[in-house]
Amino acid sequence: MLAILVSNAKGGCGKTTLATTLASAYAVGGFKVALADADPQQSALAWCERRPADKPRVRALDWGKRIAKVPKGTDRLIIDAPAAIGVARFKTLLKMADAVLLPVLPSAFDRGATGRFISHIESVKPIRKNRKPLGVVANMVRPGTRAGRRLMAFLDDLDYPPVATLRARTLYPELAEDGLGLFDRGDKAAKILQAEWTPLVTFIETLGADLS
Amino acid sequence: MTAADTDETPIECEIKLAGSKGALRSAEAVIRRFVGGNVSWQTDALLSVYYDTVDRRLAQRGATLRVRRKNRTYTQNVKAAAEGPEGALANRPEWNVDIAGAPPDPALLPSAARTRLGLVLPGELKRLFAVDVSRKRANLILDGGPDIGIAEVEVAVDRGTVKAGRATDVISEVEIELVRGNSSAIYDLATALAACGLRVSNLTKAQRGYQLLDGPGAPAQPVRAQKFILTPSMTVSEALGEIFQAGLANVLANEVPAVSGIDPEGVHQMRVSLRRMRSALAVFKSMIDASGCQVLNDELKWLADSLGAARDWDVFVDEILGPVCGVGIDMEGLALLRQRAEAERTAGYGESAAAIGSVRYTKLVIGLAKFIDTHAWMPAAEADAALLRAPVDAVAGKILSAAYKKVRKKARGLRDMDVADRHRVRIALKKFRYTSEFLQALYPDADVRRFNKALARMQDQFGHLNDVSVAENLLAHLVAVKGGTPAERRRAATAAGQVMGWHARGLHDLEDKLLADWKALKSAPVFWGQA
Repeated sequence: MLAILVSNAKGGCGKTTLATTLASAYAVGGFKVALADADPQQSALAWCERRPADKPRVRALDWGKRIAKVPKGTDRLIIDAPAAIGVARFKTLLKMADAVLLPVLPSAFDRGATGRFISHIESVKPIRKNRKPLGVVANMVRPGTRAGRRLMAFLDDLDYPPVATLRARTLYPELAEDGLGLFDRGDKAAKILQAEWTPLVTFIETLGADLS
Repeated sequence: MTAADTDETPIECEIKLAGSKGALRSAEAVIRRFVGGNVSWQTDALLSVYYDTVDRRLAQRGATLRVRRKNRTYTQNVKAAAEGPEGALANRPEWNVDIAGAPPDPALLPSAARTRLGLVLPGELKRLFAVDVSRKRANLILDGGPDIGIAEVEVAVDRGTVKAGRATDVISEVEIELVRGNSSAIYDLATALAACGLRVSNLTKAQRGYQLLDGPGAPAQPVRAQKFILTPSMTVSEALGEIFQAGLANVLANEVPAVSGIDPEGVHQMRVSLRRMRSALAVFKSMIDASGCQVLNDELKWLADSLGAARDWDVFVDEILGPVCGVGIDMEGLALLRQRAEAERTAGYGESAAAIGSVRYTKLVIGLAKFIDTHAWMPAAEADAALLRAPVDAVAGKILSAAYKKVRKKARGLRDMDVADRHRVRIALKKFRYTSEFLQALYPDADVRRFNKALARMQDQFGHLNDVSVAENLLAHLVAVKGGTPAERRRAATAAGQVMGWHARGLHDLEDKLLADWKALKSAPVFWGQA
């Protein structure tokens, strides 16, 4: 099993949407996928509840109070971490994961908060030693905007060039409303957006591959 | 949604030989003779198209995905990387699923296969290259006599090309796969085929395709012999299997670097592996079927000896001539020595290349694979075989103690020993080192490290003594080489004397250190518990 922790102390940066979209990609790809919700707001769990029964299944795990057991045979586990997370809690959740995805928005507030969060979690050994790789995702970017360029420059300075850049689209919240993810849809509009997820999938699916 | 959703991982077990078109033609005659009758061949045109994502994620994960067209049917196939060292046998998990047409569809695969590919997003798979072969295939029934019994073997002779864009490469190989029965049969057939100049090939058709796509990359790098993975619960027989499997994989991996000689490590590492296998035979000599292992031992020695000259001259050029530049040695004479030494090294590599390129070598590799697969070290008598089924950690301590005792006995009176006796101590120490190398995996790291430090120091001391004595012989050989003017020969002889003097100068100072290091080793706590 491969487990991915989606985390950033800053709220509203698209953690849950990133988690649910990834979960939908794995489910549609035929993987046994579980989505663990460690956020007291429980929005990932609510998404699982809204998910139509005829769509490939995403198992919901409630990690709000404590880390529950992962069902046997799970291929991929996505963990949605709470906002305002401290280093201690982050460490606990990191123990369960193989890598971290950190979504960040192009606003000045988000850049500052993310910079602080990264410097905090770099004190955690598996992150510092790159045993558990940290992948920053530039989220809800509008191409050609100054904010977008600033975000790229900022991430470059931090030495975390984004593993993927995802554009802002209203399709994401619309799909989430119905318990769906981008990969549940096969229409042209969805397909164009799906291509943006390739580098992110490569980041996850080649974890540890360079060892062999 | 999927065909045969099963967690079981089917393993492909086959040996592959590659050679020229001419070799392939004689191979068919050899197969006919081997079976002792006509072979009914069936020929199929196979077109296999290989797919990967644009960023080659499947390759990074060690997996391949292809769709093969045979007549009018299509099969989707996934192969994953082998677990553990790869020997002469292909040992890769593989899955096959029928599919309606040429485009691949991972959703149709069993979940174990899909997990090996990893997530593939819609539209991500791109056609990379195609392997187009005409395959002559036959099922052979081989009677191995009363001990071995009947085996069914599938032989496939592939002739064709691999194409990537405009680049093409020839495919010309024979695959032998065991369908049922004793695996001896496939090795015996492979040995017979080696005589037509076919060689064991570990390169898959997929690897050929990727190589063609990327062009000739960096030359193959030498591969270091790995630490053994032994666990205390392993039986002696299983441990032997591990040792030989790792040895075979390492020999095969160093074939190309050992021939090219770009990096001296190629020949060196192959020799390390050969020596480890030979010392395993020596260490367990009293337990194993020694007569059954004799041929293998002789062949391993033959190969090691064939690589000996290349190794000696590598060491000579790098470690004897290397450090003496600009230390007041006659430069012209030194240049002559270097020139002659380089010629010897080239000749040594010629000898290595001839050995590795020989039919005898291929037969050795196949024989070794058979040896491993059939546990040929097992004695016939059940009472003797029982010893080999005991856990290895039950005998490891005894073996180590006995080997160490020999060292201590030989080293008695080290202070007043002459060169020849010290040489014997060095050999005993070296043998002990090899023994400990594959048994130390059973003991706590910290204990092993502490002891090995003292052991390594002692070996360095002896190593230096030995280098000097080997250098003496090689220098004498270089000086005796005919050719050149009398003046040149005089200068070479003078330089040789100076080189020798430079290397021997430290020997006297080393004496005290040698005795101190020996004392330190004697008092070092042994990692196997009791001396």
